[in-house]
This record gives sequence, C-alpha cells and structure tokens, in this order.
Amino acid sequence: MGNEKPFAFFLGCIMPNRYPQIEKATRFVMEKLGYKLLDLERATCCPAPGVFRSFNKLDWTVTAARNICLAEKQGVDILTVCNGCFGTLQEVNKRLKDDEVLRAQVNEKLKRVGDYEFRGTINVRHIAEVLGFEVGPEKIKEYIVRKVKANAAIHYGCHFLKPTRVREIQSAEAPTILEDYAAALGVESVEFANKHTCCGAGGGVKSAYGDASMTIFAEKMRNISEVHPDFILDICPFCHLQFETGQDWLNKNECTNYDIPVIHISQLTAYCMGMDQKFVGLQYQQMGKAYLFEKEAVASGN
Amino acid sequence: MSCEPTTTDNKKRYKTDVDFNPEFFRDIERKSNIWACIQCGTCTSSCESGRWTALKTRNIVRRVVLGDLTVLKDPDIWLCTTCYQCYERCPRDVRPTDVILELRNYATAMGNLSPNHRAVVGYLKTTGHGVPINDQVRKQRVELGLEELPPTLFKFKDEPKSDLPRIGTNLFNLPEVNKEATTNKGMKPNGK
Amino acid sequence: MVQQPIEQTTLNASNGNQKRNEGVEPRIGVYICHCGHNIADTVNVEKVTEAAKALPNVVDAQHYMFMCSKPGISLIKQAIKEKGVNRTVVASCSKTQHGPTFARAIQEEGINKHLHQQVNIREFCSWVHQKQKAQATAKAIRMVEAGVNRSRKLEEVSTKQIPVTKACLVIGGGIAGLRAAMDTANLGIPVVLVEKEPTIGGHMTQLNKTFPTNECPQCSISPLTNGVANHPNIKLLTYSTIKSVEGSQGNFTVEIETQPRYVKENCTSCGDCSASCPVEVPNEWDHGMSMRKAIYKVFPQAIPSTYVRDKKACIECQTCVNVCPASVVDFSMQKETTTVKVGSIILAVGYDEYDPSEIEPYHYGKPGYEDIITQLQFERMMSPTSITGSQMLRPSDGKIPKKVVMIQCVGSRNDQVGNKYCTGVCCMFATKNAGIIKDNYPDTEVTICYIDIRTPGLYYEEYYKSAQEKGVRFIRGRPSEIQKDTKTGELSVIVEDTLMQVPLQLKTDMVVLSAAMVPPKTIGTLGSQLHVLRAKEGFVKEFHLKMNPTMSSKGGIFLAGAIQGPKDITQSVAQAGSAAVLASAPLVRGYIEKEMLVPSIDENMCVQCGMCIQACSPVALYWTDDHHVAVNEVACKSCGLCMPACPTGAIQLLNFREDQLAEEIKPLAQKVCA
Repeated sequence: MGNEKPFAFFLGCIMPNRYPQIEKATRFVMEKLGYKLLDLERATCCPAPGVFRSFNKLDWTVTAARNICLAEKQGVDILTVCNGCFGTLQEVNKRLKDDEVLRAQVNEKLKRVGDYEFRGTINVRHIAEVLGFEVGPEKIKEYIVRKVKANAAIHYGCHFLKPTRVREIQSAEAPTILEDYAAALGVESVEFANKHTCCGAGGGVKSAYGDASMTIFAEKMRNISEVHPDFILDICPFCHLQFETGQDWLNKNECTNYDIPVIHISQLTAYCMGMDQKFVGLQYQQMGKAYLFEKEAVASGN
Repeated sequence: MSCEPTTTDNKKRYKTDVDFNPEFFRDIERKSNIWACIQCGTCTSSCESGRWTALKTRNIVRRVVLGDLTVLKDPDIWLCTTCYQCYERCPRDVRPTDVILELRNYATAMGNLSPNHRAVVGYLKTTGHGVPINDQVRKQRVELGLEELPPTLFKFKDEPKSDLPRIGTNLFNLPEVNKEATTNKGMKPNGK
Repeated sequence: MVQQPIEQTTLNASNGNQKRNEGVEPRIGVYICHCGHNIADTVNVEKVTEAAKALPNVVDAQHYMFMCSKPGISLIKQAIKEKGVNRTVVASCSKTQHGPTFARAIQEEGINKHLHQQVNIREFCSWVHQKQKAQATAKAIRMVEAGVNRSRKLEEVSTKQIPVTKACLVIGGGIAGLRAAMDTANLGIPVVLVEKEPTIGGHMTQLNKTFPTNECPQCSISPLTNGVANHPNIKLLTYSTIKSVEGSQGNFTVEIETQPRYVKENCTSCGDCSASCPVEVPNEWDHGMSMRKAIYKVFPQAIPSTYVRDKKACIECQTCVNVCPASVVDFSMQKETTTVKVGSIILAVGYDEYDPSEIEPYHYGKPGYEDIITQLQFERMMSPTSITGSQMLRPSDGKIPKKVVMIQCVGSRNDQVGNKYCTGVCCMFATKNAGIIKDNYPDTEVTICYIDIRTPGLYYEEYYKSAQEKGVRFIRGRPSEIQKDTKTGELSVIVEDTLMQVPLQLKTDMVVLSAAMVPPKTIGTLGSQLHVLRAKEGFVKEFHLKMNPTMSSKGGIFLAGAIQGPKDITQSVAQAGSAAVLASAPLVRGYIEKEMLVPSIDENMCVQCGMCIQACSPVALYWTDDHHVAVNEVACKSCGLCMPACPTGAIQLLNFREDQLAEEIKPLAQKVCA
C-alpha cells in the first residue's frame, strides 16, 4: 500500500511521554501498510495550540516552523497521530506557504534558534485521514487478520476537521470518515447525545482551569455512558488523556463509576493487524485495564 | 455647615466614550472582521464551554468591538477550549476563536498569565516538551520495546550545539506577573 | 437570438449614420456659465471666455450668470440666428443635469441636438478646487479647449421611429404577472400570459393568510384570477414554458410550448378520475406535506378549472379514462407550440423557497427530523385546502404540538452558507404564522428566535406588537443547532438569549424555519433565452436599483415581482403596475423613438473576427448571411463595448469614435506630459 513512502514521525509530547503504547501501535501499523516511518530527531513540542498559541502567536509559529524545517531537511511529509499537533503543524505549514510577509518574519526569528529556513516543501498528515481516506475502509481489509466485534463511542475531537476551511478534510457537522473506517474493523459506532462536542481539555483549559475542564467533560461522559459502549475510540492523545484522567477524576470527585476503556485508532488498527493485545497497552491505562477485544478472525483480503 | 450631596455621588453609573478605546483592538479587527458582528449569539449558543462556564463568546466580541479593555483582565477568555464551533457557524464570518486567541496574547503581554501556564512554558524551555517524560513512562517504553527516550530534543539536549538553550532565550519570554490581574470570578484555577 | 432587419421611419434624418458631416464648416459657439457663485467664485469666467475666442472655428464666445435660464438660452438661440453658429459648447454643470436643456434649445433652432457638447466646469472643476483659483481657471481653459476639439468633430445623429407590435407577453402567472397582465390588458393591449404550472396564482394561492390584515389570499386574488381568465384581451397559456425568443424591443417573436394535460377543456372537475387513480406521488404544491394522484387538480379553486395528468408518474392503467363520465381523459393529446409576436415582455416568474438542508446543524430533510418544516410548508398545512383540514399537526405523529419554535434568517444574512442578503419578508410572515397559532391554539407555546425584527411597511410594526400581545414569545438569538434527544426523540433548539445573556435549550415539538426567498430554478434557462443580466445572487438585474427597478438590462423586457429581488405582495403588485405602464407605453404610442447612437463598421478594416459580437451584451451585433457584421439599431444600447473588443478599430460608436475622443483628450493630456 505505502510503497515504502516515507513519513517523518512527529511524536509530540503526550504520546511518547504518557501513552507510548500509541506510538508502538502506530509504528506497527505503518510498517504493515508498507510506509517507512523515519525518526524526526530533535523535534520539540509542536507546540500545543491551546497553550502556546495563546501566549505568543509569533513564537508559536516559529517553534512549529522549526519542527517543519526538520522534516523539510529530510525531504519527507510529517505524520502525526494527534489533533493538537496536527492543528498546529498543518495550520502553520499552510499559513507560511500562503503568507509571504509572515514567512519572512518567521524565518528571521528562526535564524536566532538555529540554521533553519521554512521553504514550504512538505505536507502535514494525520493518521486518521491516512487510514480513513488514503488507505480507506476497503483497502484496510486486506491488511487485517481479525476484526473486533464492538460498539464504540467515536470521538473526533476538534482539531482534526476544524477549521474546515483550513483542514479541508470533511464537513465537521456530520462527518463519516471514522465511522466508515471503523466499520471495516468490525466496530459499530453508537450514537450518543452531543456526539461532536469538545472533550474540554483544549485551549489551555485543562492546565489552568481544571474544574471547568471537568465540568465540560462530565457532560460528555454522561452522554457516552448512557449508550454503554465497549470502548471510546479517539484520534488524539490529548483527548485520550482527558478521557483517562477525566473518568478517574469523576469517579473520585463526583461518585461516578466509569471504567470505559479508551482506545486510539492506532491501537485498534494495530490489534486488528495482528499486534498482540499486551502491546495495546490497556494494562498501563487507567480505564478498562482488563478489557479484551472480542475478536473475529478474518482471512487477509476479506 | 458644608453641603455634602448624598443622593448624587460622583461615580458615573453609565459609561461614556472615554471609557472605551476601540482603536486598541484595530489589529484584531483587521484579522478577524469583528466589526461585522451583529451580536446574533450563534457563537455563544454553539460554545461547548459556555454551556457550563461563564464564557459568553458574543459578549467577549462585543467588548472588543466597543474597545472595553477590561476584557483583557477577564478570566473568561481563558475558558475557551478552541473547539472552533463558533468559527464554523458565525453568519458574519467573525472568527471568534481567533479573537480570543489574540486577546490572550495581549493579556499575556500584560502579565495576565496563570502560574500553571507559566509552568508549562518553563517545561518547554528546559526540556523542549510541554509535558515532559517521567521515570514510570521511561520504564513503560522499554517494556513495550521502544527506545527509552523518544528521539525528541530532550534526548539530545546536552549536545554541544543543541537548539534548546536558544529556544529558551529567544522564545516565549514572558513578562512579570501582573499583580492587579484577574479576580478569578469564583472559578478555581488548578493548584488552589 | 437571431436578428431580423426592422422596418423603420427616420425622423430628423440629416446625413445618415455612415457618413461624416462633410462640406459643412463648423462654426462653434462657446458659452461659459457663472452658475451664480458656484463657478464664477473659483474660475475666472472672463479669462476662460477670452481663451475660447482664440480657438480655431470658434465664431462666438460669451459668458453669462445662468446659462440654463430663459435669457441664457435666448443668448444661444440669438447667436445661432445672427452669427451662424452651427454647433455649441456650454461650459457649466454636468451633462446629466443640463445637457438635455441646451440640446433641446439648439434643436428648436433646427440644429441636430447631438451637435451640442457639454463641458462640466462645475462638478469637475470649480467645486473640487475651491481653494486653488488660479489652477482651477487654467484647468477650465484646458477643459473648454478639449470640449471645442470634440465639438469640431461631432456628427449629426438621427432619431428613428420604429413601429412596434401591439401586444405584450407576460411570463409568470403569480400575483405580479396577473396584475401586470390585467393592467396591460386594460390599456387595450392584447396580452399573452404564460404560466408553467397547470394553474395560475403562484405562491400567493399557497398561503393560508396574508399579513398585515390576515386576509385569505384565495379570496383576495380570486377577482384577479377570474378577471384574467375571462378578459377579452388576455390569452392564457398554462402548463406552458418559453421555448425560444427572437427579436428586440418592439418586435419579439416568441415560441411557447404547452404540455398536454391529457384532459380536454370541457372537464367538469367531478374528481372521479383522481379518486380512482392508484398512483400516489409527493404533492409539490404542498411542498411535500401530502401526496397527490397521477391525475389531479392542483387545488379545488384552481384556474383553469380542469384536471391534469402527470405523465411521468402515470402507470397508464387507463382507469381514469374508463371512469370519466364526460369522457374527457385523452391520452393521445400532444404538446402544442404557439408562436406569438409581441412588442414588450414582462418577466414575473417569482421565487423559490430556499432549501434549508444546506444548513447542516438544522437537520432539515433528514430522516427522523420530520417535525422540522419551512414556513411555506406550514402555510400549506394551515390553508383551507390542506390535507390536515387546516389543522396544525406534527408530520411525525399527527399530534398537535404543544410547543413551536420558529427560526428566522434561515439561508439569509449568512456569509458562510446560504445567501448574504436579508429577504425582508420573513419577519412578517413568521409573526403572522405565530399569531395564527396563538389564535387557534391558545395553549400552544410559540417562540420566534430572531436577530432583528424588520417591519418596514405601513401597519407592520403594529402587527408585530399585536403578535407580542397575543403571547408570542420573541427571543433575540440565532440558534446554533437543533438537537434531538437520542432516547425520547424530543427536539431542542439551542440558542443564546442575547438580551438576557443566558444560553437556552428550548425543548419543542415542532420547528418552523423561515427560509429565504431565492430566484426560481427556471431563471437559468429563461434568463439565457431573454438575454437579461442577472445580479450575483441570481435575481434578474434591474436597470437602476433606485431610479428604474422595473426595466431590465434589455430593452423591451420589464420586471415585476420577486424575480427582481425578494419582496412582499404589496411591493410586487406596485411594481407590476409600473411594468405594465412601461411595457405599454411604446405599444400605445405605436412606435419606439430611438436615437441612432449606434456603431458604424468600416468594411475595409474589419477582419471579421467576431470579437465585437461576443462583447455585445445587448446582442445588438450579428452576422449577416454573407458573413459581415451588422447592427441591430433597436437593440443597441450605445454602451461602446464593441470598440475596445475590436482589434483593428473597424467598429466605431457614433460620436464616440477614437479620433473624436483623442482630440478631446489632447489638451488635457498635454499639461500632464509637459
């Protein structure tokens, strides 16, 4: 599938430093699909759009541009598995390609950090659209050895599709990319109230106003728990962190009893491609430690 | 006996033009089209945060249009999760999310930045990460068959030509804390 | 559109269009106006006059306080009589202001009025350089020299009378078209009225009531529809569309195609055919709120009062043929083509209702969201001819809703999706429908979510107040989405009450969307057939938004009603009267008088590339049979676009020829280049 197409694997912060099992799963998936994942050495935080862009937009742009330059030096596109990183890198990449004045300003400041110059030669990709569109629900069936029989609450997060005029992936009001893809892996998406709301972590709210973050999150969990999904499927490690720590916080502070496992699309796909359940890493996560996928074998190519 | 008026004190109850400074936000107008706002309220009713918190997006935009500078000290502007729902649905294409992010930049430059956020900036400067790794996760990485340290700048930070010190000195240099800053309005920030 | 040469009589024909005024030496009279203080306070009029005297071919130069006054005009006339002035230059105000005044004056002395040249030293000089008197005077001198240069090269232009066909075509049988047809017919003009539906009346007959009087629209319109159907001067062609249009103002030839009804004219409307027909399809007249049979009558009071068979839906079982007591069902009926010759066309094809399914958060049209309807659908439900028996019922379960929320500005006032404009009628019809709900169902809670309430007509604000007094709740806020409870299926409208600054979740049984008025789908084809320009929103573009909203961009074609822009019934009727008068004027007179300010073509320079024909938007240039370019003088609008399109300069607009303009520009340009 991938024809050895190389990607620079942008790790970000939450995934390598809190949920390395997502990194493991992503490497597994991309290799099986025939893509080459190169290390993007010396990358920093993307930087996180909610916090750093709020503090100083220019420095946020410069830091992001440096990460993009690292990939430009390797001559390859960037692959991220995180809405936040995608939000930053895809948007900065696009803005710097379009706006000459900003590009000049950024390049000037970049020189103070190191020998970097943004040229606009690469693209930024998110694994959800690589799997969801480039590979697609039909082709993925050729690579999986088993399906899972599960109902899942699918969570898109905010920065994958929005702002739609920048991302240009799909309409954000009623998207279908993840449902269609997950169905190929045996996942049935369950409808729940206010399905497309934010997890409440972004915009710097989780770090500065945790209570507000939890209030927003609590409603989401109420709506999800009402439909009793087998797990929550997400495409962003920060949402992943929110679902994990959030359920725990609600259990401790609001007398709830949540234990819904939280699975990233990489983890699900890797499992279906044959990766051992122990590498899925639920034993390291707070929720659903004991959850085992209900598997259904399929011959490759079905 | 001197005559001290008691029924009319000198404090104005209504605001006049001198209390507003719309020119201050001219830059935001240029970038986000805020003068086109008709206060229809689509943003507030789309707001995921505003449903539960005091954030009233429409009100924030109104204050920016009028030039009410108190908005820069208002903690409500930090309650936006940047979910972009308002941005997607605004019929006048005002782009409220961008407005809030610009306001935050101004507020930060004035020294109105929470200690938690300052700490995150600190982490970036010292480790290159907003969320640095810890011992438990290092072990976890090894158990999973990954490199103990991911190949980010943190792993290479002690190299002689590492960019990290230059990132620290050139980027995100925050002003001192502004003592007259926010009143918190009853919302508990983390760590309190 | 193929051009046809037209019979014309020529008035005031001097030397004709093609030749220049050879052999007549120009004797130019220059007249500088003080315009009271307006010009003379800034420009030194004496100096300008002296400078003019020195110019070649100037035989008279004078200045006067008010050239446009009676003594001023006499001054010019005297110069013509006594000094042999045969062309004039007046340096005063703008051409639009008093150009015609002086042109008329010289015409009265027997000089072709196109030999007058107006130089504007007021708006273009004294008024804008009030603090720079010396420079203003110098500029005025150069402007007058430019005007004299132009005057020297002006040509006489004739005015022709073109006989017209005394008949008018009205396209569209809604309220605007009906009124226009009636008013035109009453002036003695034969009218052909074409309507695409099987019945006349348009959207107005679909309504339940009309604001602000809450009258029954079928009752209001009935005298008009019956009047039109029975008028001796009106030929009614329903179930018909325009097939082609040829010709130009005063003389159009139009082909009209009438679909077969498959029911003969002497149908008694007994209804037996419909009752026995086994096929049901969605009823477009009810905007999908009900079904109809394949053989049907649009609504009981429809005019013409016959049934019609929808061939596409019909399964040809012929039950209707057998059942009909009058044996009028005839499957062998064919399409008919009628060709009519008319002098004017009135375009009155109305509007369509915006389809809100484009606005995704409102979920209109999605399965499971049947209780979200539009205002027109609501009107159909409440109308006397409705399937629910004029009852307000939820489409999903047929129950009476206890709560109704109406949402304004759906597809209007939106820069991201839908249309940017304000439709201007929805505030009124939502208020109307909300009030009607309260009148008939006092226990039902009605809420209107709005951004502004616009009531720009007489009695409209009072109507809004009376709705408030009936208990209609008005919430100022534009809803961001409509949600549906995944368990109970109950709808909620999410909106911020911007006046109270509180976000609300309005639980509701039914939502009515006030959708915009948009141009009808048919205008795409029709607009091309008629060659009328469209505004960027798709409505047909009027000649001048303020001064002439009833004329289109094409001579002889007039606009009435919502096709020219969203408007209510009052405005449509008023505009229809205007269209009738404008359309009838040349027809009553018997001819169109037109100045022949048209292009001439130098055959020696023409390379027959056809660029001018492409550039001409009034479609006034055409290929003759032997591949030469010819001018339809009747259609030409003297815009001059043909000139820059021409690569060789072969086509030149009379009195705007390149050499004339070059001479005029020289004195102005020399100063800049010096």
